[in-house]
Amino acid sequence: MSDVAIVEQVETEAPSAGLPSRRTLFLGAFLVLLIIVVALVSFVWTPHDPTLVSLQNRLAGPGSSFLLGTDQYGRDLVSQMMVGSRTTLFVGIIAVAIAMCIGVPVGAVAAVRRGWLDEVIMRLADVVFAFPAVLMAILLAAGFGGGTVTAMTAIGISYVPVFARVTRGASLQILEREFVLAARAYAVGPVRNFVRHVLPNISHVLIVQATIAFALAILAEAALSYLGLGTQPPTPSWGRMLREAQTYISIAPRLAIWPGLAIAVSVLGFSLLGDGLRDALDPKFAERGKEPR
Amino acid sequence: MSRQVPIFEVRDLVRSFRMPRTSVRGGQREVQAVTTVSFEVNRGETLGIVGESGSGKSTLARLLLALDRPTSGEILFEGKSIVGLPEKKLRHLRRQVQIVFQDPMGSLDPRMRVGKIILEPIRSLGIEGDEKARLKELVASVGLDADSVNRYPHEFSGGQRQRIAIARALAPRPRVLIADEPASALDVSVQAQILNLLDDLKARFDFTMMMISHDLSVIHHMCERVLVMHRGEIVEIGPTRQVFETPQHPYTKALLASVPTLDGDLPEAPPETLVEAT
Repeated sequence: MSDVAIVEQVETEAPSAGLPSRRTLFLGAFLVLLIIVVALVSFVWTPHDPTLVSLQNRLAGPGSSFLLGTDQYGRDLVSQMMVGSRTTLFVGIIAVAIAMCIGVPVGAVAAVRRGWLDEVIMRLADVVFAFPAVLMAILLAAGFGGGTVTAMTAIGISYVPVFARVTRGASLQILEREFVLAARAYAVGPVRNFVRHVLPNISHVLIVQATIAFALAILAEAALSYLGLGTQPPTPSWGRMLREAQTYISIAPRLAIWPGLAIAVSVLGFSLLGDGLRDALDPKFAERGKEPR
Repeated sequence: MSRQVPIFEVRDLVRSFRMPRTSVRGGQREVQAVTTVSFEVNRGETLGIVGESGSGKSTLARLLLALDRPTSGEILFEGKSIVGLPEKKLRHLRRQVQIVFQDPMGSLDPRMRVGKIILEPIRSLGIEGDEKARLKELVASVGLDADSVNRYPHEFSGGQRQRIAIARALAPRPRVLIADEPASALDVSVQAQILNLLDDLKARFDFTMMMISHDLSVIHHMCERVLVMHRGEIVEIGPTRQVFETPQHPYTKALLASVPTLDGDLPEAPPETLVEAT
């Protein structure tokens, strides 16, 4: 969890010119798009029913009828992984949404109000930050039972401090700029001023942070499902597939390899996308006028 | 000049900043940015405020705009106090007093189109009227092309950006324009253009101007009266000509003597005053 320490990166460092960062962006975007497409396709088509148990096909090897083989209950691995990508994306989206919806306003208030309120908010953020997502999920699961919702909420809450800090740090810099001061001089109120002048100017930092948080949320969901605190059966989830595979690892290692690979690839995809975006959205290098807001 | 209510009246204004403690022992240090300052701004004049950096000029500007609260003292705008008022009661001031900042890069939102930037004060203050016509007039009056409104600030040069900032400041038709070093971040060749533009606009839109500068030739050229600040205090105030020709305070003398001149139209102070001033 400590790799979230890329926190108050307000000014991003200069990208190493040209191609490498472009390639990062495109490769990341490609991998992310691939997962999204697979998840969308799984709604209308999968090779087999991912939850259909058929004992005569149990632990069938890869072949023409089952591309990657089946698990101990004879369920098709490809189908399970396709539907599992839905869970992964869903958890990531909701977790990041929770984190942003709470973190951004909280960070904004801290930056605008400063003083004791800022201190209190940031120290509270530190307390939450010290809580790993897994511990949070165990706590929540103890109260509300394990499940996808618990996992999403736990991951979301544990990323609130990240967004609060990033928002605060980036906002402080923009709030010092004279266009914000000028806006106050013609009666633009603090909330409006933030939404109109500060938020568009820190959006690139938030987009990058969201992508990175997404990658980490995927990892956290897999970890929680592995521990049995995340997605519950029979809904397929990559993390739980890993856990179920470990009993059969000596007989059918592919049951662990493929979901593991899926997790690795999706985390890599979102991380690369985040890195690529950071360079591409850097206001010092992008043509500002043509940038999406 | 006939005696009337001054547009700004400042009495015993103090603004001090508490510095963070640097040691456990010893009290908190206070820095006085503005120290018991009193002056008036007359309707229609151009008042120069001159002083070296750190002399409290910009803090003074922020206080006059009610963007900052004074530690003590009183500011009257058109006869009414603006000190300690909640934002709601400052609407009159917000409409009538506008500012142009030094850095035209920092004073325009890079993510907004120029047209939107210039119209923002009108919309924010809820001023009624034909926006399009107003925008067209403003853009033309500061000497920008009509198609500038669809572009972004970074597409313009420093001088053009300053013109955008001036158009925005004049959008609500303010009675007072505070120009905080409006030309000092620009190329020398552009400085004169901007200053002349301000002079022309002042004649056209009939506002009172406060010109903050550390550049004496700017003040000499633009202002009828000048106020000299040094370490948060006003050391001298009077008609520009009088202050420049017969400076009373040693600091003013030193300031005038330090100006490099080509044609020598500024009086030279005797060298010994330099020593006692600093």
